[in-house]
Amino acid sequence: MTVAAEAPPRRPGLRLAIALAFLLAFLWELLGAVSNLLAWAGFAAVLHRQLSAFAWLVLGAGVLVPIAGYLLAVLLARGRTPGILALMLVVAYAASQALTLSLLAFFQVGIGVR
Amino acid sequence: MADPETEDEALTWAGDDQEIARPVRQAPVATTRESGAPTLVALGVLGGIAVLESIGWLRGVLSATLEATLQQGAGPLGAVAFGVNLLGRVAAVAAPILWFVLAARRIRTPSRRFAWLVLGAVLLLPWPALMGLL
Repeated sequence: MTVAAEAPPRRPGLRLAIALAFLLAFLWELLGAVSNLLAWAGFAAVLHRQLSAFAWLVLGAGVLVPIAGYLLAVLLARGRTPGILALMLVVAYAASQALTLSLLAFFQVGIGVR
Repeated sequence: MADPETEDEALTWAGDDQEIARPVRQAPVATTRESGAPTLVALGVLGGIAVLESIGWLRGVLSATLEATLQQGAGPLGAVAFGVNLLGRVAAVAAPILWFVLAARRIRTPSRRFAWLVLGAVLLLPWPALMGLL
């Protein structure tokens, strides 16, 4: 005998609201990463020096992490219920925050702050 | 050639007065979730790693990063910024456990589930705390 499972109800408005709410959080994180990159580049320019390749790599990765985290969560939750979308975005945001802090620690060690 | 009425009878259960059901989607089969001892041990080990990583993140977050975001006299915007940053730190502490719970409960294919669990354990290593210990 075959069991027919009912398809989950589609709520495009709720999904969009969840995606937009989390987008704000990810954008805040992105803003911090971009301002960090610009601040260190400006600081190096004031000292008439160039940021090292390591610094560019770590600060650039910090910019990419929130973008990749958000897009990956939205893609993986495509076609799923709003609850699953929210859950995946929560985990993506948490992982993104952890990775950002790790990159910050690498950067501080790399430039000799810690 | 077969008699059409005989074919219809062969595809109908007794007492079922409706036509053949056309399923939209197959329900998940229970056998796709492994529940053997090795699987449970691996899940336990990876869950323990997730808890240890969260403890490491708590230690790393509490050590140096929080006070830098709280500024005296920064106004409402400063308070909001501090709140959002605090939320981010809390999220970072919870990240390993959240990742573990999501992957262990939502991914049904065993190989894919363990791939995601191992990926999470590697990605979410608490480097700030580990570097502080070195």
